[in-house]
Amino acid sequence: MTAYLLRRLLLAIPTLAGIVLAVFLLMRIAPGDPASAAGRLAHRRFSRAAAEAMRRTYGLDRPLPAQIADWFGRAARLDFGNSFQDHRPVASRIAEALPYTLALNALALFLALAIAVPLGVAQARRAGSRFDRVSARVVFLLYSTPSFWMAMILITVFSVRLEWLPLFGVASDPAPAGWGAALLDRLAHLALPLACLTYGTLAFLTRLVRSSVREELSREYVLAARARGLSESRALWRHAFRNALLPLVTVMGLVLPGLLSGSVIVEQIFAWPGLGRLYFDAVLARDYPVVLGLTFVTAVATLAATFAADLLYAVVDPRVRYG
Amino acid sequence: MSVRRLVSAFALAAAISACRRPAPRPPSAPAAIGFLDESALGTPKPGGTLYRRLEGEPATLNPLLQTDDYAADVIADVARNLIDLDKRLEPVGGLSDRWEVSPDGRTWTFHLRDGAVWEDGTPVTSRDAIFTFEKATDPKIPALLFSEGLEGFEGADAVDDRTFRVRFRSPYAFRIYAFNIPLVCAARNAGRDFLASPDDRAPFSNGPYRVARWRTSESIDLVRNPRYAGPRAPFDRVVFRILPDAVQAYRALERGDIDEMRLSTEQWRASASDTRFAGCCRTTLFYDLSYFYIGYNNRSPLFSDVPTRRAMAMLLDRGRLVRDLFFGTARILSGPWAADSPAYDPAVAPYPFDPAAARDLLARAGWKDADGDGVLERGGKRFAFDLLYGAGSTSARQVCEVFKSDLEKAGIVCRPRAVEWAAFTKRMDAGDFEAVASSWSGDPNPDLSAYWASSQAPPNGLNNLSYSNPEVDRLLVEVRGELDAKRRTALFHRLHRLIHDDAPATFVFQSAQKYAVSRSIGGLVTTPVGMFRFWPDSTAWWRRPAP
Repeated sequence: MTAYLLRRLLLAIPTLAGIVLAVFLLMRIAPGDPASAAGRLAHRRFSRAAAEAMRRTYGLDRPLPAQIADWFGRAARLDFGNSFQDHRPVASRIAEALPYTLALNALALFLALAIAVPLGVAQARRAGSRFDRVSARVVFLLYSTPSFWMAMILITVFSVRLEWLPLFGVASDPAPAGWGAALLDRLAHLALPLACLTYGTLAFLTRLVRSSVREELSREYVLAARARGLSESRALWRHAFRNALLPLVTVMGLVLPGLLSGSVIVEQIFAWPGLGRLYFDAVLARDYPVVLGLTFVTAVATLAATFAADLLYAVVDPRVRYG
Repeated sequence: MSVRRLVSAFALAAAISACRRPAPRPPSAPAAIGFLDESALGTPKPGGTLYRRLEGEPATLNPLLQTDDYAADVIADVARNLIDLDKRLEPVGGLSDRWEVSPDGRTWTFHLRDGAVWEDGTPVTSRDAIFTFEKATDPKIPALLFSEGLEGFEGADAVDDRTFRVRFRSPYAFRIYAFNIPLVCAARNAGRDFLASPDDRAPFSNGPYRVARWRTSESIDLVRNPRYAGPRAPFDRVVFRILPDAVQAYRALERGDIDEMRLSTEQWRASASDTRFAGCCRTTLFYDLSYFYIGYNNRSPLFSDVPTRRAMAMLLDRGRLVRDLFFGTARILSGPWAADSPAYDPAVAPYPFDPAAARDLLARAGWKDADGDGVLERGGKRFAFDLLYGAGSTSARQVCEVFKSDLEKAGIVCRPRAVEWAAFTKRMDAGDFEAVASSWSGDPNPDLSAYWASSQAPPNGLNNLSYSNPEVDRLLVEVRGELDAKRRTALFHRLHRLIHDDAPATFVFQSAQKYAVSRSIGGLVTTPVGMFRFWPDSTAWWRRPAP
């Protein structure tokens, strides 16, 4: 087991380096650079001399291999450099946006799971029933609804017509007095972006739970369990459900890194100060250090999540052994 | 709630969204377009908070390193410039209230205003000014907005604490615009890397407000700077809300979450029949110094001759664009300045929409459809080209599509292509294109030598169209050295005529700037530089008491 863990960890290093290198090269192959991007928000272009000066200042005139070596050298010490835009350390820019994205996405995932698991199991138990058919259709409808459209609908209904919820942001200005009122205000701001991020995952997970539970329920060991006189719920939860968790764990390994990647569209619409907007703006501004820093963080999260999923297999399925 | 009910609620929501935007009725009268000046109307009521909208987050608030409109909007309330421009674009005192130019036009002497202090109470001194000019001209500092105007900078020295001189290698008729520059505090930046200055997040104020807090991607909060000696701004606080989505911003305006926003033409149209909007907000339309143009690569075999380029201008039905896409809120141009610029010669008429005359011009220029495929050829080359425009601009896309269909009728294949901005700029600067459609961001400085002089053609400078006319080159140099304003205007008018005749670009039109402002706000002024970024900007706005 220890040898396996060690091997996996060592293997993660070249994988990580490969991901960052690929993004580094992609950014540099893409046309334009920080100087040519600089005027985009004022529809201005700046003199060639000024643009050259900017390239020199940020070391973009040096040979590419030297720039790559330099970045990896510093990244090894967890120094991701300074943003080309506001010259603050990349790490602090990420640290600033991270809590917002993490809070929103973690809540969305939790909510999605909390609804998807019971709903999926209920559908599987009553497969083919009217409830199964109708709820499946609703779930499909949700799954194929684009989030920007859903956001507009929710805003129109809850913020504009009913005026129950705020339009955008994370808190009111000025914030309401009192601890409880401030918390309520924050929750109200969270509601719509949360709904927009939840329903897609919810739909997807429900289908997954339904099909895997259904498959397990039709197995002979479940029939045997029933034959032994086990109650229906015991046969379901103790036997079928536990095995049905395996595909869910795999999928969680893929879904978890999404906690960090943020959603550009939802963050843009609700003016949510998360990582998605940071990434998007950094790409448009050709802010290479920020793009690479965020790539690094997301890549680490992805590797960690797949790793965790592999370990979880052993917990969920006693037959799985790592050696 | 049953599933069926859930589904019908969903359908209802969809229906509400579908009828959200009622078909706007055509305006019965043409929209009133003109400058607004309420600076003398009513008595400003002090106090309260002004909520302004930023369409995106500023990259940096360092006054010297700023590059975007968002930063400019915030900095205008925080940092006074050495000299400011007023609503008529005339230079007025800023941090300096008096200045003199030497007879040879090379040395400028500025006297700093008594009472000009930084937010910590220390006076603004010659040392700060010299530090600023040295940083702005330092090749290692990307002061993109200011370095160009300070070309030929020789040095700056202090006469005393409040007086300093700036020396240049040569006189320049439009140098005054280079002093429309904010100052940075030398003491605050002493001994540290200017690229990691505290000014990046909180510029050191010497103006009516100072930065209290910048919540990344949320808002930038300004509070009154109590040490500012100038006229007291009515609002106690100014909150810039960072709100990228235009639909959301419109709703926020209606709800009173923000007090002003720029409207798209489509939003402005929709607002005309929106009763909720009419109850809370008003719109104001005016022309600034920007305009929209379609530029041709004058080096390309397609566009290297004058008759072909003139024919292009005559094939674009600009009257229809103004009428159908902009509902009368645009005006057709004939030259490289906005119509309100003194450099613009109103006597030069724009090329008319005349497809028949254009076809004649094209035939005489050697274009004909020899193989009968419906597309013109000349010297074995088909008349087909990509028309590049910056991605994300709806109006650019619409104009390009209209141009495409207008050209099609004359046997010319035009393929509009949206290109992401950084890539777009790169290709423009390299001269790697056949034709581009873009906006010219109006600059109060009418000097166009960086953009039209043949020496500035790619890869040297910003004459992206590779335009070349020796007479224009000569006049561009002459006007830079002409210190008499009347004679300068005459030279500009000759330049206008020459550039119009050569038609290196089609100067399509100016579309009116459209702003919506809460009805509770008084003291609005609009100018050719826009609603903001002249002195005193929105620092003269105030809120009317609720009726």
